[in-house]
This record gives sequence, structure tokens and C-alpha cells, in this order.
Amino acid sequence: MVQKLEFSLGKQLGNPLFNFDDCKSYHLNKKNFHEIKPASPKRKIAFVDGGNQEIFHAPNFSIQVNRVYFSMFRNNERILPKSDIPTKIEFISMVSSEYDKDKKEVFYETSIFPSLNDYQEYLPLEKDLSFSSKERAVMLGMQRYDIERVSSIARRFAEWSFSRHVIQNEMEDDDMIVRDGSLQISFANEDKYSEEAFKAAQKENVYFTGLSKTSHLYTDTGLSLIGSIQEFAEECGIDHDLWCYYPIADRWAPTHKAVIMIAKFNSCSDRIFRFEILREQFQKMDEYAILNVLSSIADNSKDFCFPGYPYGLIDADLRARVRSEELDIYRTLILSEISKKPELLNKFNFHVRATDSHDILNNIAGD
Amino acid sequence: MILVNELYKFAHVSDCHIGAQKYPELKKIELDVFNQCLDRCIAENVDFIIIAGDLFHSNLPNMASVKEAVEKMRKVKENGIPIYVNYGSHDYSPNETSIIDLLNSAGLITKIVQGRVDNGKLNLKFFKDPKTGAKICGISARKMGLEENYFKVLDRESLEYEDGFKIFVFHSAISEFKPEFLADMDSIPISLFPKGFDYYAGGHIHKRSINEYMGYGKIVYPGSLFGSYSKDFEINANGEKRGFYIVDFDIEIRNIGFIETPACEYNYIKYDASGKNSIQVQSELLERLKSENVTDKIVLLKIKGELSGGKTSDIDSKLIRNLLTKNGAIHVSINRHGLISKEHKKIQIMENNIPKIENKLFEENIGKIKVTNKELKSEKGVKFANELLNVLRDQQKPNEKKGDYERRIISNAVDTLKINDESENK
Amino acid sequence: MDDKFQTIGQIIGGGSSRILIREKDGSKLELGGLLVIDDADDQTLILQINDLEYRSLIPQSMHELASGMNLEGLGTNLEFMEPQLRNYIVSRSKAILHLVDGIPRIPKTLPTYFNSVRHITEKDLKFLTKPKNPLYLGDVRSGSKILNLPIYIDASEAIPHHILIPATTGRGKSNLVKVMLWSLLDLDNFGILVLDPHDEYYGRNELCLKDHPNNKNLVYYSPDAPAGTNTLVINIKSILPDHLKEIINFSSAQNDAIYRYYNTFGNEWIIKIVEGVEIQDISFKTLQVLKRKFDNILGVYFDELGQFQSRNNIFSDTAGKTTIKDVINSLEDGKIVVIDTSRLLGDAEMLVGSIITETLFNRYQRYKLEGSLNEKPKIGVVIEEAPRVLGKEVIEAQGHNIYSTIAREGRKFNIGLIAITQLVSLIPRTILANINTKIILGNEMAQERAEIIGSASQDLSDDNRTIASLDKGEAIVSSIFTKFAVPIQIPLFEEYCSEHIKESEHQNSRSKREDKNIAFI
Ligand SMILES: Nc1ncnc2c1ncn2[C@@H]1O[C@H](COP(=O)(O)OP(=O)(O)OP(=O)(O)O)[C@@H](O)[C@H]1O
Ligand SMILES: [Mg+2]
Repeated sequence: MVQKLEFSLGKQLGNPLFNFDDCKSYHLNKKNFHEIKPASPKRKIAFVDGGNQEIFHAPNFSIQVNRVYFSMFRNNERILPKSDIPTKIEFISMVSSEYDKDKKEVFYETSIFPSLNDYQEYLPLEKDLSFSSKERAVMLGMQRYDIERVSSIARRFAEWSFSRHVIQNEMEDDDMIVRDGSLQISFANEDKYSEEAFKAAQKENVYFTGLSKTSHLYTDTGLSLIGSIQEFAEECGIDHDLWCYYPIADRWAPTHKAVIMIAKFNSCSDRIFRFEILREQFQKMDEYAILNVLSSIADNSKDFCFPGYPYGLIDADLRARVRSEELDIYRTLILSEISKKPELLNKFNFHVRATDSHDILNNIAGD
Repeated sequence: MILVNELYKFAHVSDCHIGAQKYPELKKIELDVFNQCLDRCIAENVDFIIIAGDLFHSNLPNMASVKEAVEKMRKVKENGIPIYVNYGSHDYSPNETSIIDLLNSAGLITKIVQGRVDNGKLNLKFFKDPKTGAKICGISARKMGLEENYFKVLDRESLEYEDGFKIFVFHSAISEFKPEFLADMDSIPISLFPKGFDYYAGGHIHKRSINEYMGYGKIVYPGSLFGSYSKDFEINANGEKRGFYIVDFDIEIRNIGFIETPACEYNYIKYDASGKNSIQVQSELLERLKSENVTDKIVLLKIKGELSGGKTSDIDSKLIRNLLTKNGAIHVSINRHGLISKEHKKIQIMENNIPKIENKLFEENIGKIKVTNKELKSEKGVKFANELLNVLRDQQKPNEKKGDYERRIISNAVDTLKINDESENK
Repeated sequence: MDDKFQTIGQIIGGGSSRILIREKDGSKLELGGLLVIDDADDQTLILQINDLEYRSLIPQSMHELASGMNLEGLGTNLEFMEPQLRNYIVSRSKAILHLVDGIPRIPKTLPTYFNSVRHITEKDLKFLTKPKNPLYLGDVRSGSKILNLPIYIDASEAIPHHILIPATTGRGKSNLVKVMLWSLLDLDNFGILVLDPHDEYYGRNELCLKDHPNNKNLVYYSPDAPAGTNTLVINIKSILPDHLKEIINFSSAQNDAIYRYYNTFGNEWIIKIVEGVEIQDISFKTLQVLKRKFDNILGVYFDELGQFQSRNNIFSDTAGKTTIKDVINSLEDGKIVVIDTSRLLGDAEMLVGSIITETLFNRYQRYKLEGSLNEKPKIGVVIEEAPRVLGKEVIEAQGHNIYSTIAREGRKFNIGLIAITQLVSLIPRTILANINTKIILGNEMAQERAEIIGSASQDLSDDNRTIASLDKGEAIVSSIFTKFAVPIQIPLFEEYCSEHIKESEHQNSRSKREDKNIAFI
């Protein structure tokens, strides 16, 4: 096995590989390393993340708890919103699927129920969350939507929508917003919300960025892009404390309007991350401005617990995450509501049990 | 080095209480011991005599007794012996109009208490005995131990600084040297006395003692010459010798000699009446007294105990007295304070209407008080007395400080008096 | 909002015996601190902090790594972001009082979960009123913060029920006693006997009780009496065999001899023994031993000239006949009598104390029989190093003495002890149980703390740390007369009394002048 591993990793680093027609990738080049120098940008950074967890599941429907959260820092100190925007919004979403025998397609429908009425304004419209399985799949390789997959749609849309509000209510010129993950979109109608957010950012001159913990990018020799660049940095003897690498690829896809870079945000960390800036903004920035934005992230990436990764995102992840203890509470709440209608309860039990056995097995296995 | 050949002498006497005795037989003894004392002083050729207070029993005593005593003192003076005195608690006068002041003016005796209070400090002046050079100063007594206030402000330092042979004359009990039976008497702690005097000539305590204490010379009480209280007689009857001291000195005390002034013999008879009824007691007592030798003696009879029956008044003192006098007693003193009857107790418990009792007592006694103010006489007087008593009776409140309490009572009392003033004016 | 009412923490869990409170960053909660939770509808809960601990949302290993890096000079560009949120202090507190409409009760319910917590203020404790006979102890203290709220106990309750002042050396026992006596001087109806082996209460050369505006209530006895005070001189004849037997261990032969001398010579018995007067059936050896013992203990002997001598001038054959009576009369007058026993060896000191106390006790017993006890002032007896007379060993060896008798029965006769000790553990539990007020000062000895806690009037089982951490002058008053174990700060005596003197001088500035120049005749 070790031999096999040696072989796999011993390959040439190769060049970034993007399986898109509209994509041009660049060769690895030492010149593409840029040092991030400590600057003391006083900009406000907003971090946005969301989380969702399923509370009930049946083959034809799924009920989820969703939460989207944002926090803001300046000089590494938390700042509270000046407007009355909540720092987190919570809602329950229910996705159901229906097979249309005539059209031979599955029709997905999502309803959302905010836990406070006030959250309504930050949430996507239900009509945008409904689509048919035959509709053009925006996400690559995705032929049919699995209901579980679809169930995160409400949360994703809400993230965009909430981000827009954050920008509009809280952000000013030269501030930035960092989203957990990439700026890529996956669902029908998602662009409607992402575009609104991007537009708002451009209007306020707020940098719209994304940072991914994990990256699914590879080189043309099949190695992980991030690993390769790390190794390449060593080969080239890059001794900057902090650096970033770009350009990596040039792509102009409507589903991914961002410039990708790989960055090392803390000298004490081996980890490097994929970082994206909204392309339209990137193109208007000079190198100094770009590095200044990166420096802002670096400044927030000093926490002992996860060096090199922004504390704001750690925080956002922690607060957005829906915990299993909470699920029980929601489950009980919903069941008690359902039980007020005995017929419905009966039906509900019947359908839910169809997939429940899986959960039961999981429980026994202690998963 | 100074060689001193000659020894000086002074006599230290106190508490003669001339004029204390009411009975002729006792008056006679009272003067007799006084004469003995001064005669002895003349005979011993003392250089001076200190009488440390209470030469007389009051500041204006019975003139017959005074006359005889003064005659003897003149004789002392004629022999060139000065008599130095201070006030005692009995012959003290707040406005210096005592018999002492009279005799002082007449040159028969010399008051050696001199000084003044300046800036809250009492500066005493020494009186220097012309012959011996002894320096004498002192503090007189005042009523109710009030002389302590003088002691408190006394400038001791300047007195201690004075050189020479020094005598301090006083008329007070000293806390550290009080005899046990006088425990409740007001006294002055030794620490208020100036240190370093050769001799502290005390009066007031009717029991002789020579005391010593670190830093102080001899602290001496001669006691009374005869006695003025019944307790004194009890002590006499128990064998206490009465008299005075003659002190030899040059630059310091050489000897202190006690000179007895014998008065007469005593017979002290104690009788316990407990468990007997009044009739039994009367006859038993008379029977017993018949066999007592009382000739030429002062007889002290103490009857105590609780009668099992009868009244205490059933026991006839007159009868007893007659019997003893017939048998040759000079004087009979009967003490029956400790005698109580069962009935008496009952009355105490039954008669618990206190205001009624008080009123009755006032009514009975108002006639004995000699006042000119009409408001204080007869019915009005009784009413007033009751009012005042009620004001004065008011108890200290739980949270009230002593000082506040006193002030409140005084001001209430004054108010009571004022009301009467005003009513008089109307 | 008033600073005082700011939230300084929040309930995050626990139970009735320990309520966990997360501290608001920077609130600096202190051990022993008093906290308040305003629960619904005039319900207030007062808590006391028993323990503090760090908590963190960050795993311990991370902290350890971080500190390693710091110490080794690595990772200088790493930090803990938002430390105040992620690292914090949790206090373990105990509900000590439940106020319903301001009336104190023993807490039986828990406050609302997640309720916020604030510092205590004077207002919260307004039920602590000044009693009828106020004996001042100090001011309420929350941790080391002092509230403007004086604490008094009612002397007429507390004194006959005895007071214990336990603390290791230097923690402020004497200072406390000074403060207490100073406050008692203002009360006219309490007689306090102070046996003062260090001559520290009168203030011969420094500011102390003698400087009290009401110092006419103070009587001082010393072998070296400053002007106006009394000389401590006790007539040897006032000592009875029983007085000595309580204090000193005699063999049975010596015991017999003592009683023979007493029966033969009455109150001259000691004089005859030290003079060496022989009586039949008493061996020369026993007489010699007794002579030596009396010299050792009382310092009395006969010199070559056959004169009675006293080495310390305290025991006299002539003077001091009324000293004991005078002392007792002063006590009965409601005065504080301080007796400087600094020149006396331990046994003699105890003897002097015993004679006075015993005579007093007998007198008060008589008053009780006669029904006049309630007119008499209540009496307190202050003793330093109480185990000398209240110790288990002493009582076992010599039987009960007057002090242990007072501890057990004094209350019936309105006589109480104010016992000072470094070692509580030496005093039998039965006696400790009778002492109903304990003013606990700092104590670093665990065993002593256990004894103190075990015998306290309130459950102090959680206060072990707190007692250990009490600083000079900090104390806890645990009494059956206080609603809870009140933490107090005892003022530094010198400051306290200077203040008091200034105040009263200000008040009396006019009335004083007048009687300065009295006429002398
Ligand atoms: N309430 C207080 N506030 C400030 N300082 C104090 C207080 N009480 C005592 N101290 C300081 O502590 C010192 C020791 O106090 P104190 O003599 O009262 O202790 P103690 O317990 O009587 O000691 P020991 O065991 O030696 O008799 C004092 O000199 C004083 O400076
Ligand atoms: Mg001390």
C-alpha cells in the first residue's frame, strides 16, 4: 500500500486542471507567488456561514432546520451590527417531491417557515425554490436531484440573500465580506440571489470573497492542486511568511464569477486555502489592493486553534452549525403540533418510518 | 556630707470628730481622748502637729465641745507647737466658713492647703514649717469624694520636683489601701498622688495603717481617735487600739511611733433571734444580759435574725438599756437593723400600692422640713414632692446613654420646678 | 444605569448547593464576594462565591500548546482571538439568603436559570438594622470590597451567649477586640473584664481605649499604673485554696497541706506557708515544695529579715484588700475593666482572672436567687489564649474551672466569655457548641478551619477556601443572631478611633471648655 501511495504522490506536480471548455489554466510559475505583507487595513470584515440539518426524512420529503449567521470584525475585535439586522436567522424548510406521471418528471417544492417573522425579509421566495428535475441542471454532473441534496437549497439561497442585506445594512466602502466556501452556484434560480448580492457589493464597493476549507481542484497529473502548490512553493524556496499564488486559471462561467487563488495566511501553519474574489472586482484592483485584501484575512487568521484560517469563519461556523441536541427540540415541537391532528400524525408516521430504519441502524452502530 | 544630729518630731492625728457624740458620757470621752492626744504632744515636745481632716464632726459643731477643744489647742500653741490642718469631709465648707476657717483666722491652727487652678492644672503651694523646714502641702476633702477632681488635675510633676523633706496631707481613701469593710467607699487611686514625698499624712479612714508603695514614702492613716460611727465602736470592741502617730525625722523618716489614747472598755454582745418569737427573745435576752460584766464599759448589743412570731417592737430596748445602765454600763448602743419579723415581710408584699405609700411618707414627714417657701409646705409641698419624685424616678431608656439620661432627668426636674415658679408669679 | 447595578455574570448551571455563574469579562469576582440576583417580584437572592475556576471553550491541549509556543518564543503571530468570550471564569456560589420583599429567609428555591447577576449594594442588606445595644464589628465586605454598611450585633444577646475569636497569629484578633471594646465603651450597661497579657488595650503610650470620649467607663489596673489609673495590687489574703487549685496542679499531699494551712490560719494561709511556719503532720518537704511553688507562681517569699516580699509587687500582704471587690463593683457599674497582666506569668494571670471571675460569678448567682439579676449589667470576660483555661487537656487534668463553668452556664447568669484563640481544636466541642457567636478571621491551618467550620452557627462547609484566604482584618461573623454568616471588614483600630474621636470632639467642642477652671479651696 505504501508503494502504491509513493507512486501516486510521486507524480509530476502538473498544472491546474479545469474541466471546463471555457477555462484556461496557467502553468505553475514561481512568479505567481506574491508575498502578503502585514498591512494594517482598518476595514470591516463580515463573515457569513450557514448550516442545516434534517429533522425528518422520508423518500418524498425532508424537513430541515436552517441557520445563517454573520459576524463582523475590525482589528480583530468583534463589532456588533449598527442596524437592527439580526446576526443570525433561523428557519425550517420542507422539501417535498412529487412525481408527475404525465410529464415523467419529479417536481420539487420547498416551503420555508422562519422561526421569527422578522426573519422573513432575509429569506428567499418560495417560488424560487421550486423546480422540476428536468430543468437544466446547473451543477455539473448532476442529472437528478436527490432530495437530500436539494434540501440544502433553501439554506444556500438564504446565505446569498442574507449576505446582500449584510452588505447593504452594515458595510461601507473598502470593507469586505467573506463567505464560507466558493462563490460558485449550483441550483436553478440561485444566480438570482448571488447576482443581487454581488451587485450590492459592487455598489457599496465591498469586496465579495469566499474561502474554502476544502478544495476539489486538481492538477493535470491528478494531484491535489493545493498540495501541489504547497510543494511547488517549497521547491521554489519561497520564504515569505505569508503568500498567495495567482493566477491559477482564467475562467468566465456564469456559475462561477470568481478569481481563484491559493493563499497561506499564517506562517505558523502549513495549511493553505483556496480563496476567491469576485472577478469583476478583481479586475479593477491593482496588485497592492489585492494583497491588501489578503492581508486583512491574514490578520484575522492568527487564532491558536486554527492558525492560517480566519477566526471569523471559525466563529461563523460554530454559530451557524445546527447541533443534534437542537434537532430533538425541533422534532418534539413539530411532532407535538402534528399530533394535534391524529390523522396527519398517522400518515406522517407511516411515511417517515420508511426511511427511519436507517437512522435506527445508525443509532445502534453508534454513528 | 551633712551631719544631722537633732531629730525633729511631728504628730500625725486625724478624724477627731469633735462634736460627733450626742450623749454626755460619750462627749466626755471624745474630748478626753483629744486632750490626751494634745497633752502627749506637748509632753513629747513635738515640733508640729498635723491633723489630717475631720478635726470637727461638722463645719459648725456643738459649741460646748468646741470651746473645750479650743482651750486645749491654745495650750498647745502656747507651747510653741503649730497645728497644721486640712478640711475633712465633715468640717469642709464650700465657702470657707467652717469652724476650721474661724480657728485659722484666729491663728490657732494653720490651713496648709494652698493652691490654684490655672489652665485646668492644679498648682499646689508648699507650706514650709519654720522650725524644721519640712515642706507641707495637701488637698482637702470635699463631700462625696469630689476632691478626686482636684487630684485628677493636680500638677504632680512640680510637686515631685521640689526638694527637701516633704509631707502630703490628704483626707481620702486610697483605692489600693482601703480596708476590706470599706470596699464600697469612694477612693482615689495611688497613681493620682505625687510620688516621692517622705510622708503621706492621711485622714478619713478610721482605722490606722502604715502603707508602703513603690515610689512613695510612708502612706499613713492614724485612724480616728475615738470614733464617730457605730462601726467604729464595733472595731474598738474587737480590740482595735485608737490613737495617733509621732514621727521622728531629719532629712528622712527615722521612726513612726504609735501613741495610744485609751478611752474605755467595751463589751460587744451579739444575739441571734432567729426562730424565736418576740416574747422568748425579750426574756432570754434580759436573762443573758444580767450575767454580762458591763461595769464602766460601753456596751454594744447587736440583735439580728428573723422572728418566728411577734413584732420586733415587742422587744423593748428601753428595758434592756435600763438593765445595762443599772449594771454600770457607761453607754448602751443597741443595733437591731438585722432584726426582722415575719409580719414585716408580709406587709411589704401586701402593701404594694407604692404611690400610696410614698404619699403617706411625704405627708408624715413634710412637717419636719423647715422651708419658707409656701409652695413647698403642707399639701402643696406633698403634691410637688410627688411630682418631682415621678420625674426623677424615670428609668434610663434602653438605648439611652448615661449622660443623656442624666441631662434628660435634670431638665425634666428643672421644668417641674419652673412650672411652680410661674404659677407663683401669677 | 448605576454602575453598581451592572450585570457582572450570569447563571449557567449548577444546583442548590452550588450555583455556577459565568463571570462577565473583567468583573473580577472574588472569593467570598456577595452577589445578587433580582428574581421576579421583589424576590432577591444573595449568593456568596465559594470558589472560582477557569473555563474555556478551547480544548486544554490547545492552551498547553499555545503556552508552550509562547514560552519557547514561537508563534508570536498567533493569539487567542476574542479571549474574553472563549476563556472565562466560572464561580461556584452558594445562595445564602433569599429576600422576599426585603425580608430574609433561608433560600429554598433556585433563581431563574440564566438570570443575570450583579454586585451587592448597601440597599440589598437594609434588613441589617442597628440593634438596641449595638456592638460594632466592622463593615459588610464583599470579597475585598467594603460596603458602607456597619455590622452590629446586639451586645445583650451576643455577650451572654459567648463570643469566640479564632485566628492564627497576626490576623487581627487584638485589633478586633479593640474595635469591639471601643464600641462597648459607648454602652453604659455592659461590664467587660479584659485580662490583657500584652497590655495593649489601655493605650499607655499610644492611641487606644483611654482616648475614648466616654473613657469614664474605662477602668484600668496595672502594676505600673499611669496617673489616674489603679494599681494592680491584690492582697494575698484574698486568694483561696480553690482559686489556686483550678489553675495549678497539686499533688494530693500538697492539696492536703494547703487545706490544713487554710483551716489553721484562714486567709493568712499563703503567708504562713511562704514564711515556712510548720504545722503538725505536714512534712517539711511538702512545705518547701509549696513555698517554692508560690514563689514561682505568685512571686512571693520572705526575705532574710523575715519580711514578706513580692517580686512583682502585685501580690501584697497589706495593700489591695479591696481590689477584687473594686473591680467587680466597676463591672457592676457597667464599666470596662482592663487588667494589665503583662507582668504576670501565665498561671498567675489566670489566677487573678479566676479570683475576679469566680467572685463575680458567685455574686451574680446570688442576684439571680434574689431576683435582681435583670437590673444588673451583663458581663463579658475577655480572655486571650483561651485554651489555657478552656483546653481539653486542662479541663481533663484539673476539672472544670470558672471559665469552663461560665462557658457552660454563664448565660443563665448573664455572664459570657469573649474568648480569643489561635487553636480552636484544643477546645472541646461541647464548649464550642455553647459559644454562639464566632468572628472568624483568617486561618491557614486546615485542621483549625475544620474545627471552626464544624462548630459554626451557619453551614460554612463551603467556606473553607474563603476562610483560608481572609486577609488581615477580614472576617466572617457566624452567629445565631445573624441571618447569615456575614463577611465583614474590621477597620484598622487606629483609623477607626481617630475618626470617632474627631467626630465627638466636633460635637463637644463647646460644652467642654467650661469646666476647665474649677475653684480650688
Ligand atoms: N482590620 C485591620 N485592618 C488593617 N490592618 C490590620 C487590621 N487588623 C490588624 N491589622 C494589622 O495586623 C497587625 C496584627 O494585628 P493584631 O495584633 O491585631 O493581630 P493578632 O491576631 O492579635 O496577633 P497575635 O496573635 O500576635 O496576638 C496589626 O499591627 C495591624 O497592622
Ligand atoms: Mg493579639
